[in-house]
Amino acid sequence: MHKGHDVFVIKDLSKIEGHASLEVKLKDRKVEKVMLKVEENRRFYQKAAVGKNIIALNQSLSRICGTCSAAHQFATLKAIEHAYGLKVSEDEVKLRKLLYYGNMIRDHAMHLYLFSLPDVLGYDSVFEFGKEHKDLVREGFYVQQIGANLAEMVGGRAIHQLNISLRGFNTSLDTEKLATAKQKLDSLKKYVKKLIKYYTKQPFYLDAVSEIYGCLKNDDFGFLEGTIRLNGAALSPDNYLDSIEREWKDYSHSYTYYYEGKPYLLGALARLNLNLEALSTNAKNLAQNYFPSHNIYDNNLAQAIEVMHSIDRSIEIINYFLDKGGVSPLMKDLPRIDKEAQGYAVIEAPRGLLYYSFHIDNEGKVTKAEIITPTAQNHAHMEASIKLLIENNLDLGKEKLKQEIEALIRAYDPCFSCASHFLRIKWS
Amino acid sequence: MKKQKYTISFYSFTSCEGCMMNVLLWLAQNYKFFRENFVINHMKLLMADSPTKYGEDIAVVEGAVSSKKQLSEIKEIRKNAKILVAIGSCAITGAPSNNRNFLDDEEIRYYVKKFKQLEKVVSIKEVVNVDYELMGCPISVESFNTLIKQIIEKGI
Ligand code: SF4
Repeated sequence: MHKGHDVFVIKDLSKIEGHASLEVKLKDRKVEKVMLKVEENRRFYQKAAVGKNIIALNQSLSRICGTCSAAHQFATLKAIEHAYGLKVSEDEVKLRKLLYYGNMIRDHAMHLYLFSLPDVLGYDSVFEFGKEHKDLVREGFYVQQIGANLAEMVGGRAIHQLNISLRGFNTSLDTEKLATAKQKLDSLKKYVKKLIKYYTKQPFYLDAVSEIYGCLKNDDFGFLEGTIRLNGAALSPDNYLDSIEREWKDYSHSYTYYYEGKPYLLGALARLNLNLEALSTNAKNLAQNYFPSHNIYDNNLAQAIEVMHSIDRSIEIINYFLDKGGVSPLMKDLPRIDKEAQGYAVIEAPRGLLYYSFHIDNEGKVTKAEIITPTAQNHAHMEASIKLLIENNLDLGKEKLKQEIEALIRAYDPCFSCASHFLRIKWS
Repeated sequence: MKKQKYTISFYSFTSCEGCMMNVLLWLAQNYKFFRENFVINHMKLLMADSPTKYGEDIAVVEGAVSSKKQLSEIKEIRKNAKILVAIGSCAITGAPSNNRNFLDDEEIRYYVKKFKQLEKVVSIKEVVNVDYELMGCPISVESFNTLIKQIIEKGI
């Protein structure tokens, strides 16, 4: 970078979900401004939720995001269940987790093998893998597929699952199906071990710009339950929003979030740093030497470990249902709704804490909805990291720097397709 | 003689990208077939650069059209592609990505104006000629597979 004013633009970042671009302003070799712009066209799901009945709301809100549709469905159900104090049976919780692990395996595998591994191995895309890495493509597709199959077996479909609702879990599985799924999951372990190895040897390093992490703390690392931890503080879904600050970014037409004025980090790295003890024994053993870590690129290693964990825990749940002789539909009556209520839920989406809240009237119609996605919350952290990366590498040359920045953004596994449906205007 | 390969592109418009997730699964299941028959021209999900802009044998498009920029892009894609395949409900009907067509408030009006959006969200089908359409929310992997094979069989 030369002296004087300089602008640096990356249009339409690739190998991420959704559309985003980056603009960096420099002056005299100092970064003045980093603007990560979400370029998604708004679909207004949050707004459209208002006036809808809660009964099928999870199906509508599922469409916020194709890849983490299960997260949006479960957050919706949990917020409504919270509002009306509805109980969910132990078996239903187990099925939810099983479906969710399948989703987690598919989603993480897609990111790790197809989006981010090319960065680690020095290729432009997965199609260019050389002879020695060709197997990884096949393995990546296979891991992704088995994850999808699990979500489909339990949820009815891999994406926008059909079997989950306020009425319970509508699925039946015989022992043969369960046993096959178990065997398939088992066959993934050797590949995932290999994947983890690649990520322990990845060449990048960047110190986290803030060591404020947030995640759910629980005892099974099950993604759907637990108490919220943010910078050590224990929070509950109904006071989560009061604990974070938001700032409107006009250039991105979206909010960014801060904790006590600082960016914070959600997602796999945060979970591994704060909740490692809750991993499956196998995953814990693989993780122990590498976490806690403040290297932002270790987010991908953390994801790879979560894939292994999800495989282990899925097998545990399948064993439980095998012992019971299979799964039959777990249906219940619709809740009686005759009063106004407010419900809150925070769960771990693949990319971190996902916040949902609803105000519901006495007929079961939503009067107010609020959805905050993890990528929106990580936005400020990403921008600060990009700034740091550029300042550390001013002499790298624009092309190379551009590649490095893209790799850094991908390390966060951002999902811009759902990051930004929450337009609020700052009137000027 | 080497088998002739077709060029194919995958474009995402206003959507949840759920249909494209299933395209990825299709790719995973049919990788060998895919590599034997196709070369990708554009697929932002997996590649940074496109060898050429537009002009592929098959353009697979998901999502609805909501901005002026998208409208001119889909027209360019259509003009240059031999075959255009619209996948998913968003591409064919606009829904469910067209929530704002049924909402009306100051915020939406401001958004439409400020970010050069179209007055109403429209489907791909409403604005360009579509050769094949595949319904679903999301599309199913199997029917996508069948369709692609039918297209090849018919010849491009
Ligand atoms: S049709 Fe459904 S699954 Fe496909 S992109 Fe649109 S909302 Fe997503």
